[in-house]
Amino acid sequence: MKAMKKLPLWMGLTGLCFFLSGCEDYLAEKPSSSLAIPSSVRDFQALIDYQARMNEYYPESGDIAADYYYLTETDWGARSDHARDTYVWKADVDSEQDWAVCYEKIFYANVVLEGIDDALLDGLGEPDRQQAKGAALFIRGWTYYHLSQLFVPQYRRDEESSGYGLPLRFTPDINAPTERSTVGDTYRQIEADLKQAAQLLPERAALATRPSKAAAYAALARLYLTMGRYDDALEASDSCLAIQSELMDYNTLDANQANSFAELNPEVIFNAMLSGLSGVHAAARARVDTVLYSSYDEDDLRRYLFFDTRADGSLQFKGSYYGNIHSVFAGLAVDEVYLIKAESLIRTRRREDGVRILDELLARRWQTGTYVARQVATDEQALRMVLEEREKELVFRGGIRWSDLRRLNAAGFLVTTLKRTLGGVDYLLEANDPRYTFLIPSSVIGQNNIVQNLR
Amino acid sequence: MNKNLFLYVLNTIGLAACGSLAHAQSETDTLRRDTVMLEEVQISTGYQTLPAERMTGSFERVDEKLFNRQISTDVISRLDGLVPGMLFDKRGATDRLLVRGLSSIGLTDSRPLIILDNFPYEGDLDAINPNDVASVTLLKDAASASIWGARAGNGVLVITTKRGQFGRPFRLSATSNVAVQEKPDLFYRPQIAPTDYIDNETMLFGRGVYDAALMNTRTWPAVTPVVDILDQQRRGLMSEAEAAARIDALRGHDLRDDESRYLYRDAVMQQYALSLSGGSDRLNTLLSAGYDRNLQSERGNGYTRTTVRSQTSLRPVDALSLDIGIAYSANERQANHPGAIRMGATGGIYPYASLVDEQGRPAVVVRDRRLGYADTAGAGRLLDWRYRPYEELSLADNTTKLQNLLFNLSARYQWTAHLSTEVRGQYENQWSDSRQLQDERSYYVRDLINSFTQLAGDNVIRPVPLGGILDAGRSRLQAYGLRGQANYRRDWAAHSVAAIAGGEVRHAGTESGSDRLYGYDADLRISQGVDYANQYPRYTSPSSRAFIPYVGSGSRTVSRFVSLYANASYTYNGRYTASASARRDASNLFGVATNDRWSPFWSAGLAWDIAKEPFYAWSAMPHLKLRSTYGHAGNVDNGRAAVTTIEYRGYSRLGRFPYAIVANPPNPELRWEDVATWNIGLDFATKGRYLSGSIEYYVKDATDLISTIVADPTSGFTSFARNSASIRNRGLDISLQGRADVGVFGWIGDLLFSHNTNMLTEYHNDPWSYSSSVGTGNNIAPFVGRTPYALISYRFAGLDPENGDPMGYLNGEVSNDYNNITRNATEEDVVLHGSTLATYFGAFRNTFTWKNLSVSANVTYRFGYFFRRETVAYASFLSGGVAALHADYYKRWQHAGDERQTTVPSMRIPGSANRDAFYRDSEVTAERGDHIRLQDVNITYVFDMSNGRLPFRQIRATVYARNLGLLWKANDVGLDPDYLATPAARSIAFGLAMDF
Repeated sequence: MKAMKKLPLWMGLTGLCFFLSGCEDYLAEKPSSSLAIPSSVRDFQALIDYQARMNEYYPESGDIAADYYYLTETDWGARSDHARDTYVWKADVDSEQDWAVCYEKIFYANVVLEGIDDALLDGLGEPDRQQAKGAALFIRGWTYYHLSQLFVPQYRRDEESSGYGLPLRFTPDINAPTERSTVGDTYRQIEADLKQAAQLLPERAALATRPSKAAAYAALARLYLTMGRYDDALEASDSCLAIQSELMDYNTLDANQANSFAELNPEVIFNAMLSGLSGVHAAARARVDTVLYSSYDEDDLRRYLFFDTRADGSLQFKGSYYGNIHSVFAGLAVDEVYLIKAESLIRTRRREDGVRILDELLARRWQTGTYVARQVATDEQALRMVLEEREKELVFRGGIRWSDLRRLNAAGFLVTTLKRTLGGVDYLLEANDPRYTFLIPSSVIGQNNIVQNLR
Repeated sequence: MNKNLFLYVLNTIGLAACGSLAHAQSETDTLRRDTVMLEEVQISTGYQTLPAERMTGSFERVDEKLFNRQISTDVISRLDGLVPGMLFDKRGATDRLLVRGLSSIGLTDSRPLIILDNFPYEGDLDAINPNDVASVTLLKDAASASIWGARAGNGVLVITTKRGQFGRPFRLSATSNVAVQEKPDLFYRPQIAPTDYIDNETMLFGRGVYDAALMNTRTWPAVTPVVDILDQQRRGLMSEAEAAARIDALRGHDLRDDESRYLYRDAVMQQYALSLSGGSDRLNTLLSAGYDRNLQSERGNGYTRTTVRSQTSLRPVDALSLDIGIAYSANERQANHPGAIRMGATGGIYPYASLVDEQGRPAVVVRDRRLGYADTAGAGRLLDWRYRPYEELSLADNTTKLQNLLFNLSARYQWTAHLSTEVRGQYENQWSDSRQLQDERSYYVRDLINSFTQLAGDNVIRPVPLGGILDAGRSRLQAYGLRGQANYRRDWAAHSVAAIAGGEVRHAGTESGSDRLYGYDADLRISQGVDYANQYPRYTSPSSRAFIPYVGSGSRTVSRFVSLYANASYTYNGRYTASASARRDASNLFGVATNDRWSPFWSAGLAWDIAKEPFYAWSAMPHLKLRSTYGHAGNVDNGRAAVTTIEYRGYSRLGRFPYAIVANPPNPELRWEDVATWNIGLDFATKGRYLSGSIEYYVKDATDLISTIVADPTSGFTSFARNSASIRNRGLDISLQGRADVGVFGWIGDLLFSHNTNMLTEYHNDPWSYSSSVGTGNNIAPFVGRTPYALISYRFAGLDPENGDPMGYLNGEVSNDYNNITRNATEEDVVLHGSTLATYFGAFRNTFTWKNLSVSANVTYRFGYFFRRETVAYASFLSGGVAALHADYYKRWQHAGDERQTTVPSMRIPGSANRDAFYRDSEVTAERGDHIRLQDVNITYVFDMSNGRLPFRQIRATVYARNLGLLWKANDVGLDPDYLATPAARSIAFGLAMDF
């Protein structure tokens, strides 16, 4: 009985000891096994390998608005309001989705950039840290570039100080203020990020889903071309091609396949996909512009590898470098770099060199033995030719046609008025119309005191 | 205090606890029982048991009799309509309990903390057998609940189980309940008739809407039978007459008839329980067992539960008492009902589908791909690719078994007359195993095997092997709590003091995982491995390759608390009581510095028993007590983190790199939610208790609430969760009881009335547009000064007489710019109706007794709230989607002038989802929710057999009917505001309770 009397006392004391000693450790247990604070290089690399974000969901508004395809009235009617309005260039269309997917990528890049310098190596090496950091810089610069092509007016050297640049973010802090930078700052930031990425990244990545030095140079080449800095574009494309220059010979491909190209084909430098949320570019809907189609020569293999005739006689695209007929490739590939190099040479008065580069590309696009090296008499002819080939080679490539329309219209060369007809109504988009720059989404305007784009 | 008054007080307390119990016995009998029950009018907070009269706080107690007035399988649903201040929010799939309005806005749990015998209960609530429950006490205000600290912000529900009694001979009692519930009314949601649906499909076919799908000869997307027939006719494969005949044959058929007949049934619920209890002077014990078996109204779904419990108390010496309890519960849930029938992975089904053919065999329903293709693909070398939903019912084998084991041990030693210490421990272990075996003949398995099959010459290559697919899931919960506490209680002269102080450690950990076996043979228990690492071509589109679905996961969660607490009350002269409590909690909230993990909560209260004052002379009202409290409690979610956290999600599609996502943006300011409550109450009873009751008023301020705020998408998030809101609740809880006895006839009426208004007092970011808050009111509408669950509609300006377009307002101007209205509506473009939660609610329960017969009916009511009715949406259907249209279609605008009779917009091609959304959420589809409901009726007859030769002392026979329907409703659209999808099914139960 006596022992029993003391039982509660002992139990109490045991409890109290436990209570006071291990409190700190006891409460340090993490509440969920899947939660982790990113601390090692491996963690940051894992964020950059989040392919569903880093390689997918590239903004599509420009491609919905571009002219390489058309929709039937029925298919148009069955799309979302956003897709329908973008298709006919409605002035007040709200492209929040594109804005949000881009800034999500930028947030990820900033999470990596904030922590990577102090991250634990944990068995990995310094080059792994450099690669993760370079990849984050690439993603940030590359994403800002995409945003600039939708939400910032076409770059002009004399308008660098205008306040219509992008809000630039350098921290993952969700409370950081949103303020528009100048156009000059925006483009300088893209250039700086990509340049630094090019220094840090390995020449080629284990897989083209990861950014590489070649990808950074290719992106720089595209940026400089957009800005009209052709010398720099030439240098960047050379730097890229010095690492990766393999072109596929289209004669080795089978035009009977549902999709002519495999995923991650040898020309892919950085693999990426257009968001596709609108469903507009799915093979079942997007019909190929017939004028464009008829510009391909009978001996041009792209005519067969890129296009398929549908039951109703219209044409659909099946040449996606993303490897399936539903997804538009929005990454970087060697053929584009060839075209940038050719155009830059021609525009910097090296016509012959430029046309030879074009020959190099086209010889691998035409049936063996049919291609004849091009002869042109003037710079203008050469430029016209390279731009036509650009349109034909880079058809259904996310982000390219819209940027080209913007820059060519602005330069006043090959000025195009876009036209859509639906239900007997014609919709027009004149060159240099303010609608070539989309509105900042109303959710951003509503929560910040920033200036809206012109209308 | 004279002796008579003292006895009177005893009497009144006993009656209060007795609730609305029918008093069939003689007056002396009543008095005897009330004196016995005096000991039971102790309110348990889970830490201490106090006489109700010493409490300053607000609580509601449901005793065993009242609790058992309802018949149900579970504990919680029995409380609906019994307690003021507690609202069952029925808008979601499962009922949500709200105590005194809102103290959380959706992200942290809004349920009250549930205490089972002194410790928070972490397991499955269905594991508790209601026949084991002795009483349920709801602690509503800070003084009563704040002793539970960081988890008490939503109120605390204390469930106390039955125990044996010292010095009482062993007694056996048995209960048997059988309930039958009607099958659900599938026609409650009005839809257009199949024949009209077919006419519209025919019209859309003519416009080429289905052509993209019909022309797709790669993946062969599914089209409905009518579209298929029209296509065959157009391609010349069928004559016009034959096509018309075949379509006409489909017109008269409604899938809901078949579903009702073949997939639903009247539910039957059986419940049996036995209990044996008694004790000597030194030991008492209770043994109980229960068995429940439910056949649910969805065919193929069932539930069985077995519970066994033992509770023993020992008093080896006078000063020491020990308690040992073991409870075991095992239940098994079958979920073989196929659920909603769909034509694809998502979306709906054509309304003229049949479940059986003319011979009564399971019929084919189009699914995933075109019928003609499914019939012929692979020329016989694929598995049958057709879908027969009725057959799926007999093939399904989906079972979840759950076992819960609960140990309790406590020891209490009385050191002196005033001081005692106690140690309590609880250990809980719960295992749950789910097993879903999909038969090789099931559509899911056949479809998966086929979609990976490759036909190469004569070879059939199947990367997904033949055989069933077994998905197994496991989860395990382990929780323990350990508490040490000192109690002090002393009464001297005019003073009395009761105080406790103690410390507590709690841990709850879950572990769960799942995996899948392919090629499973249930008889041989063998399975086959598959190649998860490589992609395989899809049969329908060989150019796109896919991985074989991998199902495998594991996770672990831990929540830990360390707490210190103290509580004291002091009463002077039996008239003035002061109480105070304090508590500090620390938890393993992630990423918060240890110093910040401790959070203090406190409360204070006063009570004044006016009737005991010498000057009090109102003899008609011999009981009158005023009390008031103020204090804090918290609400915590340890699943959140204050720093950037990432979550590994497996391996990337290309390259198989491990990848992670950001699970949580950095939020260094994360902290617990706080709920401060001020309560004032008045308890009274007239002489003879003809009228008694209480009136309480409260103000409850919930601050630092974690909510999802719409973010500037430039931050990388379109929304995220943070401490960002405050809500103020104000309300009134009134409970009145009246009684009358005329000879053998008796009446007791209980009127419960609750009023709650709540408004957002703080919200960190102002929404820039009203559009995102327009809707059903089930999500937070963040407007400061208004209720967070508000029904907000677009202003409606009628239909355009030209074309039947609905017209709204944009910036105050009439507009049909739906894209802008649904995105950028301003305050002048919307209508704010009010709360979607009832602001006035309660019940009126009348119990009539005549000799041994009692009849009790509970009428519940809810007023002052709004709901959104469904209406027609065209866009998806007009773009080739498959979904039944709402019957408002018949009221649509068709000709100029119709706008004077109807508000339903015309059906225009092309459809616009934003036009639909505007009308769906416009003011014309908002309805008042006010209604009065006959919730249930209980008829009980007690056979007193104590003098008979049979072994029974008493038999109680009960008929109990529930969900008897609405007595009145404010809306004239035929909807029950609490049940918008399917009406609450009526049920009737027969119960027998025997005491031996």
